[in-house]
Amino acid sequence: MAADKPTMKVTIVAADRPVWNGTAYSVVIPASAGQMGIMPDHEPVLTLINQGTVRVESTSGHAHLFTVSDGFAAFDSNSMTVAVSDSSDDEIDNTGAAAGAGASDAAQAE
Amino acid sequence: MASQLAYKSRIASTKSLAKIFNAQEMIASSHIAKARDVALEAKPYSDAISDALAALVAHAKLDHPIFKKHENKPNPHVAVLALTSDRGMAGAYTSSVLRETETLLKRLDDEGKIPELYVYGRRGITYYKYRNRDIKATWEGHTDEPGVEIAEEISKTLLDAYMKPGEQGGVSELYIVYTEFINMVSQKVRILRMLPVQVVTKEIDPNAADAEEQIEEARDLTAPLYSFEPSADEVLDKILPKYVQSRIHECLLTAAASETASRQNAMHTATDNANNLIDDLTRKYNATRQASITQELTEIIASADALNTSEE
Repeated sequence: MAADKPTMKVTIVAADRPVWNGTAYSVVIPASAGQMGIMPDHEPVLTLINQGTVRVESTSGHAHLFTVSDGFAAFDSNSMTVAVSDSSDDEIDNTGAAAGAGASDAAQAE
Repeated sequence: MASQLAYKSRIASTKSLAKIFNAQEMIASSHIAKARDVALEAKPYSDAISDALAALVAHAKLDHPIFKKHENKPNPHVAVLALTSDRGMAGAYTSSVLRETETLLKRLDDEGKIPELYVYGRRGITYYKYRNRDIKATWEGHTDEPGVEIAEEISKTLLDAYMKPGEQGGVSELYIVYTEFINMVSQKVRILRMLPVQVVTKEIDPNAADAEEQIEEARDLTAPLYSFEPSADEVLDKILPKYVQSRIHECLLTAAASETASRQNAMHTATDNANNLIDDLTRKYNATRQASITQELTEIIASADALNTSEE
């Protein structure tokens, strides 16, 4: 595993409950000006987000997808907070890069 | 002294009441854990909004109407939202809120303002309808488990009223009367001035000689220099209504927890009282029964005595 890859803390909260939190390599959010990818050590940013999908590449090797309504996201000192009015539960997407990471997980387990 | 039959029926009815009170108490105590959980679940979101707002306040110009309303002439209309309960059997919960509301309305009247009433909870609605008071809007049916939807509805109505200019029937301030949940045995009615929003960061006296320095200092202290997308003012525009909604939701949740706690306390006391009453009535019932037995015995003995004397 790429243990030395920089990570960041991610918290996703909906108005009535915390949805997900954990550590991740990167997050893609539907920002007001279009898709916005945020990786560790990004500059502090506070942005509005539109309805869409938040994609979190978590350190567990899975990509988590959340369908969210409007809200905002704040990032500073490697901690990301996504606050939305409403969010679907976490869905694991095993396609693409995430699947590769998953496979390396499996290899490590052996 | 009442008859044995009367005591018996009073004992039976008190027993059935005690059963109801006890059941209500159990329901309330099972709800309270849930109400507390719901309040905790909603906390991360309101924290996130407060943090974002704190960051914004340091960077954006605070001339948004939510902070300070600009109007050509002062608007005496103010909105008052009272959070009461849907159901009774909660002790003094609703009546304390209503009492505070009345005091507030009177105070506002004395200040030359014209309060407009918004009521949440069936009990409060009935109270004001019965007294033929004008109510601007009402909500009911969710007081013991308020969801996000109802908070959204309420904050939308009230923000609409607030954002309208005075000439079109807008209001210049919003007060909320609600019950704060301190712990299981104590809840306190509070009056919150929700709008215009008072910025909760460090107070800076604009007249002080070093006001500029203080502002600079405050800016340095408050968190990182964010870059805002699309712009600080636009972000503020979007976040402020959400902030208001989340504060209102917070009030609804703490009010719901208070309602449940106060219902549990009231029902606990009612159960105790009913049991005391049953004990008392049982004692009286036994006394009357004993008295009637004694009386019968005396009568029998007396009549037997009388027969004996007449035979001699």
